[in-house]
Amino acid sequence: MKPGNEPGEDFDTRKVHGAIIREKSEPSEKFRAAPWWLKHGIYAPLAMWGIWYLIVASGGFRWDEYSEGYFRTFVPETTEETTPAPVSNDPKALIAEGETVYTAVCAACHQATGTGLPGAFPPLAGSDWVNGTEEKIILPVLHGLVGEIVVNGETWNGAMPAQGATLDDRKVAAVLSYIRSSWGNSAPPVTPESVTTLREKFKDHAPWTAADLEAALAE
Amino acid sequence: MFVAVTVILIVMLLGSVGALFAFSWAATHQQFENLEAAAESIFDADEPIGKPTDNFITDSHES
Amino acid sequence: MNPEKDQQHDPEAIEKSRQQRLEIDLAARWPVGIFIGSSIFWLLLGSALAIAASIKLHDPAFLAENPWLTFGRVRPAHLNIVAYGWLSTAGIGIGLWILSRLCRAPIRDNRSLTLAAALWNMGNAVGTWGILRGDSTAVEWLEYPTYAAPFLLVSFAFVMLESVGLIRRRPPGHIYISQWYIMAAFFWFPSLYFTAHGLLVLAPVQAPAQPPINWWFAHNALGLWFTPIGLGAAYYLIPKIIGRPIHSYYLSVIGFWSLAFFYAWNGMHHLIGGPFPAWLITASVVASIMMFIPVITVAINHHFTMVGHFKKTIYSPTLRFVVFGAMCYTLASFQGSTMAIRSLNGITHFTHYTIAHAHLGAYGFATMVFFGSIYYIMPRLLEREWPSRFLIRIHFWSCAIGFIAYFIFLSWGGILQGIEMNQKETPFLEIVALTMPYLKLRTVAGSLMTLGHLAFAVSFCWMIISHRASTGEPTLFSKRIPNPDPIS
Repeated sequence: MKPGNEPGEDFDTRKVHGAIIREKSEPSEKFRAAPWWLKHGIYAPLAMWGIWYLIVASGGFRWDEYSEGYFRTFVPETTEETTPAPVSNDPKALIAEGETVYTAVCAACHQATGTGLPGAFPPLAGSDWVNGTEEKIILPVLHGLVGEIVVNGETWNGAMPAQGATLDDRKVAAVLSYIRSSWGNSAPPVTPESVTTLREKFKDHAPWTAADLEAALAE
Repeated sequence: MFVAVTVILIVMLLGSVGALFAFSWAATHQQFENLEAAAESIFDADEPIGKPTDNFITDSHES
Repeated sequence: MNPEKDQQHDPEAIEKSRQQRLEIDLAARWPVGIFIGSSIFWLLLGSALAIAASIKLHDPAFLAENPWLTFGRVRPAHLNIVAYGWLSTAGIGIGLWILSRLCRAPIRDNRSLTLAAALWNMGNAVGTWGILRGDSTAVEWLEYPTYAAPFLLVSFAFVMLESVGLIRRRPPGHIYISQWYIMAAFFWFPSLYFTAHGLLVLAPVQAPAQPPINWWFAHNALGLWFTPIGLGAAYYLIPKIIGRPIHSYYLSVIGFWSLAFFYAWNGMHHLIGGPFPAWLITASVVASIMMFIPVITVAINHHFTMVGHFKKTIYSPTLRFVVFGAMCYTLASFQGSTMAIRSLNGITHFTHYTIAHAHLGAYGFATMVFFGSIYYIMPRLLEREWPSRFLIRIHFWSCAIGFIAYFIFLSWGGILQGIEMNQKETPFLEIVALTMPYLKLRTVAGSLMTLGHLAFAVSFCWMIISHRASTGEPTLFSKRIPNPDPIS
């Protein structure tokens, strides 16, 4: 038997051999990596798809863009396809069209009754904004409205997204005419031409703040 | 609104930093080495590999 | 060099490790026992409220006279009780026990943990009373009023303190995957709960930001609180019971870190189609699909560990429940990933299908794994065996069959509901009428599940009360135990 390093210590060769033999009886890899088909067949394709989808379906990473831009969401088309394109500029037709737009686009926040939601979304019924100058309501619809505003003496602090990209001039005029003649509001309807003029004048404007709006309307 | 953004940012930062810290701690403290021994670490002399354990402790005292 | 193999034949080492394990299990008796015992009470109460809520959906006049028992209160009460009274309480008990075992350190602070259990139960009781009384916060998954939160906060602080103590006393070397999962869960849960409670209830943020925070919380409560504890338990119990280490520890590490990385982004998939920035929703869809990575990884790991050993589910109750649960985890996660795809979501959103899915995860996976864990843990804490094999059988089969029926009927009704809701011409009331038979079948299935819970509760109480000494044999389903396999 071989002596060990310390005086009095020696190896028991049988014990050492026994341990070695036991070790051999079970094949073991120190590092069992992930199977290749898992890496190449599942991890990699998923990662590639994920990066691609994240880039193409994020609506340009805009905070005010709800539509992902690449695929349509599975919602039956509402105003665009099902409503036949009207020719008449008659206010009544405009208002009727406006009601469809309102239900599809605005009612989610401002409610079907135009009362808004306390603490969240200002009312449109009896609102001094709605019944005031038409620029004050056209511009927020086109470009969005953020920050503190005062409506009927109450302060609201929210974020209204822009609808100018998805609503053409006629639809903007229609929905605003509808709002201005509903729930007790009685302000004159908005014409598509007014919307066109303002859209040209403030092309690509960022979402408005109350201060910006005042300044723009003062000119 | 700024309060909300600040709180969310703080939570996010704490979370991310915590996760990074945990991961790098694991890497530097040999947690990713000898993974086979790691898998076997739940066994010991009394409940070794190869012995099913849906029985309990004093079992071996009784015959 | 594998010291365990040498020790197999060393009687001193065997005795030493047995003593250590005995000490750990006995030290856990009160704290873990109370958490588990109380969780069973909440399970029963939650089941009763579940049946009431289910009946109300097809029979609205049921119990409608009393304001405390209206649907608007009973349903959130059910949700919060099963989440924070049953799953969370059992999860804390199971998590503490597994940590204690794996850290090879007995739980030291019995008194604070017993106090913690009492406080946790008080928080749930106060919260439930608050909801039924009408003080619900109206924030989904966070309906407990603010006055319940301090109880939960202080209680959890004690649990955290003890867990950190256990981790610090662990032996040098590897931290097993279950310890990672459970410690992570114990850190994630309070951060989630108290951030969300703060930003949505105490000092609510602006309206458009509330739903994202709400669903960040609610979805993470599932994936970063219940899931890690369930997975941690499965990763410990499956190898322990069959006596064989996990198939690939490397895969478990991948599974853990990819869960931690991807899961938190999922929550927004509850808001698909809503007025939110597209990139936020898209990020959640991507994260939801990427969840295939940890889920497939875990599934492969568990499956290959079990391969060749499935027969052991014939005799082991714990293994049976845990394997059922682990399979439901895979199914639920796959289903969830597909539900996040926008076009499919257009059919399933706002339907009963979502509820069925939620139960596949919270019941089929988490609850069943916890049942299995309790069957393993309690005999070791009490040094007694489960009194009746028959009751365990009733428990398993009622819950398994009941749940499968629940899932099939409710999903089916939900898909029909979703398809009809996308048709402009179908009146809403007609859609409600079409779901009625499925809702009634759900009540029946749910009652079967509750029967199983009753059997479990009776079993548990009997075991506690009875002073019968152990028969020396474990209470397994069958007396015939397959020979332990050679090391392979």
